[in-house]
Amino acid sequence: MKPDTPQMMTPPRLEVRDLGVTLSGKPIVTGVGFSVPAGTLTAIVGPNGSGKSTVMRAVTGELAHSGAVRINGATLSSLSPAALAALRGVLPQHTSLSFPLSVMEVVRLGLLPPFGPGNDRDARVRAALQRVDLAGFEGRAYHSLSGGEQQRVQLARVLCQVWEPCSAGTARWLFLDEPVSSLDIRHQILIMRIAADFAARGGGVVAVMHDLNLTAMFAGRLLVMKSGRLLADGAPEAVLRDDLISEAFDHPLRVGALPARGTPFVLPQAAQAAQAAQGATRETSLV
Amino acid sequence: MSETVLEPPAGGWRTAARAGDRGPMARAVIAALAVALAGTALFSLATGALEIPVLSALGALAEGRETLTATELRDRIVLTEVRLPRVLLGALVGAALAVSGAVMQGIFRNPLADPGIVGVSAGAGLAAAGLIVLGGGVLAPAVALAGIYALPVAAFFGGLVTTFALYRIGTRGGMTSIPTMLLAGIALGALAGALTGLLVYVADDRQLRDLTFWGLGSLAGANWDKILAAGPVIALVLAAVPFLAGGLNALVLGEAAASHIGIRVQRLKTIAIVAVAAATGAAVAVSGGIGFVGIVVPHLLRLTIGPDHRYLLPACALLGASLLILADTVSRTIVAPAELPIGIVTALAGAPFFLWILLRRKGLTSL
Repeated sequence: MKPDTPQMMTPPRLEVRDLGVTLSGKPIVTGVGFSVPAGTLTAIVGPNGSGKSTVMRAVTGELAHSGAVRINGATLSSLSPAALAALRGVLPQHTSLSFPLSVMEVVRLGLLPPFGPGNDRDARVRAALQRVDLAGFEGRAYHSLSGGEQQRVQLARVLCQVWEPCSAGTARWLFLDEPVSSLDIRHQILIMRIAADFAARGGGVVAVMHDLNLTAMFAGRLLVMKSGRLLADGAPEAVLRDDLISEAFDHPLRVGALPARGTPFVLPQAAQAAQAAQGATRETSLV
Repeated sequence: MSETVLEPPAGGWRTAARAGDRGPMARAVIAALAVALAGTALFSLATGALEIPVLSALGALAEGRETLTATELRDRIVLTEVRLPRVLLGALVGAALAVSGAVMQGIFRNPLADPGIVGVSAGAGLAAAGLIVLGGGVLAPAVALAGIYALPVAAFFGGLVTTFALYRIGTRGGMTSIPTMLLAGIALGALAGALTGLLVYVADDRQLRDLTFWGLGSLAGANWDKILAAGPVIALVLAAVPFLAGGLNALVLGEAAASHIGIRVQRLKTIAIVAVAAATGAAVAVSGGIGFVGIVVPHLLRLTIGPDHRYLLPACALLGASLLILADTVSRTIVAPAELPIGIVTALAGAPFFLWILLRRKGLTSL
């Protein structure tokens, strides 16, 4: 690609300005703004009900919202569903099928038309399943899989959709809503590696996360939500501080650093310890 | 999309028989169903009070009347004026009902959605009954203008209004609630049925006979006029629905996920609703309320070839047509010289099957 193609000029960023979402008359998200680049894994964290998933659903075009969302420089509402689908894939928190498809039939739905001949399609489906550690599952009934396996099948489908993180100078985006919440620890790491790899190859990744330590290991950028607002925005090292993170979750949390690379880790404090730390009269402390 | 699917993959058919891909099997089933439809049609043409050597009679259709013996002439008239319209109408109605059921189930993401169950057929029937009874009065000029199309058009709008009402009631903030939709459909169906019942009191004798016909459904009135009236509508819908197959497949993932992979979900739903209303309306207009075809046929086929709508929709058209021709043959021969309404036959066979579907569902919550 020549460097002067128009695609190269559009900034590969997700820009959100003054985002507001109101559901049945109740404001769920207000005044959220951020601008994150492709090439970085961005994680949205925060307590239950803080509006993480709502921000995600607004940014992916699923919810009506106020404010502006721009993806690679284009306003969300200006893109057709087909153009948007070519630009970004979305992994929902949970997917239940209305009819019993096989694993292969589910993953194949990620192959957007127009797609090449049958052999290419099958090769990509197989490769996607292999990446999520489900090689050989093609013929299984989706309904018969465990929750974690279903989640990985859905990720394989989304990967089929946005196979190249960056092509012709255009970054593609992955939006993952709690991608690892139902997975065992090995597959949590596997899925986070896939997401981090997608970002490393120039794609954009935005993931709603609950596990702060997993997030600190893989994310390059952290958005902390609380009560429908953005509380903090920055690198994990800057955002994961005792005071800030304790305030976000309304619970005393202590941040340490892993020995090898200084990756932060978050240690929850027992309630007693918290009171002790705050000067309450306590005889013992658990830490 | 379907073009690339119908061609053998570069590796040949052997690699096509991959795990999890039911495509090759589905294509084989569709071919078998096409053969079965031809066989059923010939069987039905040959069956009846009069024994007709169907193949030779059909072969002789090209010859002029003057070359025929008296018997051959009689056979030809029975064939072309009685049985052929009836078989064609049965095929059209059966295909329309089965495909309408499959499309509606795909849109509502529920295997129990069916134009008959959610009141669309009842709404279409009410409009048709209203036209029969009130058509002689204020509506007379419009009816005269529309001619043989008056009844299908009225039934179409009846079906459309019911489907739309159903959809509106079941949808809040872009989300469609399936239980609400089904309950609303039952209420709307009961309402339409009650209003149709009221029409009985203002109907004269001839109209009453026509109205009774709507209750249970019958192909007894089959003639070329009815085929001319309903045929184009149904043919148009059958030709259009394959274009919905990709969208209906995506909708298996849910509306949000379908839109994320590039489907214009709202447009898909609108087109599908109009198509279902048109096909159901046309079918109801010429045959009355024939139940269970729309629910039994798609379900049976999903068990066999899977839920991929690219195969499911054509297979539904073929099997629906075959089954209705078969049911009609039973209805006109089993108590000969009298005739059973075909609705009785399809309900006798379909209702137990429907109950079996309910029984073999694992959880009650999955409705």
